[in-house]
Amino acid sequence: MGDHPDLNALVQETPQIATLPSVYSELSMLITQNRANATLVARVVSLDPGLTVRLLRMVNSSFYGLDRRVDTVSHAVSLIGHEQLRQLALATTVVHMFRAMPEHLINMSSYWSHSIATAIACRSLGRMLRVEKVESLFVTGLLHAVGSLIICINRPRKARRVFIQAKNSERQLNEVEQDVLGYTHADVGAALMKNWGLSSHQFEAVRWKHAPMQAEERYCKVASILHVANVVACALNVGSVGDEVIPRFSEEAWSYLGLGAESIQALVWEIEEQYEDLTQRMTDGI
Amino acid sequence: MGNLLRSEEKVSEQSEEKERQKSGEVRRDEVLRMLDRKFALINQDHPAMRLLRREAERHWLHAIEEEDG
Repeated sequence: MGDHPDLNALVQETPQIATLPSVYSELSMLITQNRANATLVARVVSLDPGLTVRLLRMVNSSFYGLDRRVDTVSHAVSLIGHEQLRQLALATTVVHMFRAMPEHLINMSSYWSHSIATAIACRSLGRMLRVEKVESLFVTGLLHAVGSLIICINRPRKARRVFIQAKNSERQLNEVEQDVLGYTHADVGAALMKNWGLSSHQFEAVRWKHAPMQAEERYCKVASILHVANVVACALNVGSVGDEVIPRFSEEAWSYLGLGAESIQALVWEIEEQYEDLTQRMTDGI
Repeated sequence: MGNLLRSEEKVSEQSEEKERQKSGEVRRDEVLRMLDRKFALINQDHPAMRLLRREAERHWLHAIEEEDG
């Protein structure tokens, strides 16, 4: 694992995906530079009516559990805060960006089901562990397999070979990818997320999701969270990103997180309760 | 004649029920085999993974029951 010379070039082959849309970038800059207030945020978001609709659909879902309906972005900001709104905007923006994926390469409905289930589990684990910025964990879970989409778009023949070999051999997808491509979807996803300017905690978690204890110490926790979330989502077979088998579970990562076995049940229940509604809200109309 | 027809109906219903049960058992076996394949790389002796396997079975068998109505 690590930097492969081709990765950035691979990401750049699809310029419409290599960079995030300008509305999101402007929103992100506003918030990270502490220049945001509810009115300004709403003004920026309104430049993209589609984003406004998608954001409000998400905010009004049971996932947020707000006790009243939210009809404006400024109201949403006042209830959930700038950072949560930013992460939510990122989540819906990315789903929207990949809406035109050719279905003969990858079943996008299945892909997003799995990604959203993983995202829910990440967020749930973040809450159990009292991690700050659980919304950032949600997005990390959502994006953990985005590298697969880039490989499918830009290396379709090799992608097909990888999926067929993985299916026939009962090997982990990333191990087959390493053999066939010389890198994994985790490597590609991390490169793409870095190019998008996302936080190092997000892209390093994705890079090390299969071997979380090999990450730098400061990323071990978030990588371990993503690792466990992915294993649980795979086990429930809620959609798929191409893994026929559940990736090897790192017992070291589990010990590192310090959770009891009963946490698994809570994760499963949370996924079961939320993934259908959330998947529909996030992918409706795509 | 009427009684004969009714008992024939009952036999037919019992037969259909047996077929449904058998079909349910077959599907249950298929699910368990699918999960055996999925868990091939997982150490199910680990308490968390043992519980995950149990939850995955419950999840899938419940889904089958829902489909069967």
